[in-house]
Amino acid sequence: MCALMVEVRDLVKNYAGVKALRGLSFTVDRGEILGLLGPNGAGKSTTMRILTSYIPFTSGEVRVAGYCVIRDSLEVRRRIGYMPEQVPLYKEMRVEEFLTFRARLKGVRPRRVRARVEDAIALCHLGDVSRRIIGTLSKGFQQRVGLADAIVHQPELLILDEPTIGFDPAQARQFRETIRGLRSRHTIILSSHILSEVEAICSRVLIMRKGRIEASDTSENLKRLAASGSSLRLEVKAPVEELVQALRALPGVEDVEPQPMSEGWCSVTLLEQRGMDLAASVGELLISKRWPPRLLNRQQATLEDVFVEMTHEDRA
Amino acid sequence: MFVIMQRELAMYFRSLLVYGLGFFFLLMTGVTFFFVVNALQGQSSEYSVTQFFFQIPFLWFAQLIIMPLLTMRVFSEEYRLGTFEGLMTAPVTEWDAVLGKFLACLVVYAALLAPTVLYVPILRLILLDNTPLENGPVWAVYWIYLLWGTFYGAIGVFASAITRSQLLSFITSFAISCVFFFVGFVIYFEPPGWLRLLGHYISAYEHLDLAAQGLLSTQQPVFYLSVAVLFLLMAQQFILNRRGRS
Repeated sequence: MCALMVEVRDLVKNYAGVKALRGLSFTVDRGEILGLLGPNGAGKSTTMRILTSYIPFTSGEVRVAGYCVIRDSLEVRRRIGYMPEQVPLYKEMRVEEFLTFRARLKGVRPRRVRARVEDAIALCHLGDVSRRIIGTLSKGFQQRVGLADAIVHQPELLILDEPTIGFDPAQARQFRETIRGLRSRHTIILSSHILSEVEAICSRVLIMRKGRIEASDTSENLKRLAASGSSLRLEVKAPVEELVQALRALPGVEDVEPQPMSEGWCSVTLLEQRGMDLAASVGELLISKRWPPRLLNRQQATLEDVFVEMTHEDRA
Repeated sequence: MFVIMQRELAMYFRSLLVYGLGFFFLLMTGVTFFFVVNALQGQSSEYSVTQFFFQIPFLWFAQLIIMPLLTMRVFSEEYRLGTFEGLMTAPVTEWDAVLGKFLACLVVYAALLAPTVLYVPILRLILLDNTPLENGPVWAVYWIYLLWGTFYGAIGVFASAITRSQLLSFITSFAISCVFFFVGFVIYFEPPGWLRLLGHYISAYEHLDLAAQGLLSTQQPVFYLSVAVLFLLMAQQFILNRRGRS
């Protein structure tokens, strides 16, 4: 068994005159959950479609479970479960009937079809609607049918393109729980615009921009790497001008943003230079100046900050 | 392939189209049957009953419409609804998809044709022993109809594979079918040698006429089946190209 679930090397995809992917290289280990992040047009969906063997590529090498997606396309397709952004459903079919058809189409042995369908229905919480016609279901349920379709043949690799798009927050949370439940059974690649979702589910994040990889690491490491670093927020009773001057004089301060409040209080956001921790020296300064604080709080960079930083148009 | 065929069949028999077509087709054949029975009352004819019955334009023209109607949605609808991506990311080949859908159309076509077999015993009952109605020519005509179904079905599947518009698919497949059908009539205009030979080879109407007289040849299945395979292969190629352009 190949240790790597996905191997992508120097992947280039050109559409008529447009370079969708420009030399993409990454790997995904078995059991990993990889999140693909990037603005619209970054090449996330194209990458996923290439991994599923649905579209060819211009140059490079792509392997899934050791199989080439072009030469061994059928072997690859047997091993993947794919849920595109627009979930492709035969809306005139009933849920159970559709999943049975898909299981048989994906080569599940006839004796096991029923069990696999029931399993997928249970995992995706579709029990109450299994006899309903798909076209009459809400968007949320239809997305779940799409996920059940992707997992019905118990694939090694699950590829989910924007799986929670169109969900309300409660549905999205339930969907995240479902995907978390699948973690033990499948390697998962998912793309999403909801960064908190990626942060919560994925063991590794790959940030894409204009067909290239801008960063690839765990979300924690990415946050550490972010140029914006971390910041301190404090609320102090002090004269604003004097406070700002004193804080700016501290070594390691990037910027100070004051905001006067009522009754002599002042809120300040203090940006630290990369790798600096100024909490102690700020505390000492306040004590020495006898400026009483009522809040001193560290604000960590979020994945959203990293995303904005990495994918910003002005970035060189 | 059989899984795709089964799903297609289930969808056909759940749609109004098939029942509407069935109604239309049986109405056509029923009217034809009525005329035949009337015409045969106390008259003698140089044509056999089989020729008389199966050559009425109602019947063969219906054949030209049925297959384009049955096949117009097979791929066009998948393209339009986006389900094509789901189909082609499952472990099935393009050929499986083409053949599965084509065979389903052929089965539905055969099912539409099947009730007309009942006319034969009814006709025999009415005619008593006055006019001979032999089994051989009747089955020969049904054989030609099945070859037509294969032929026009393959053209229809091809037309559906090249566009996401069902209407365009219908028009394309009807136009190609008509060209093939009516080009055969060239033999009645006494053309030069090679054109006459070609005309005899592809003339669907003549194939039907000969079958109604009990004459079959291996030329007919060779022609219809080879061209059908050609159209199915072209459909497969279009699907491959479409994936490349996605």
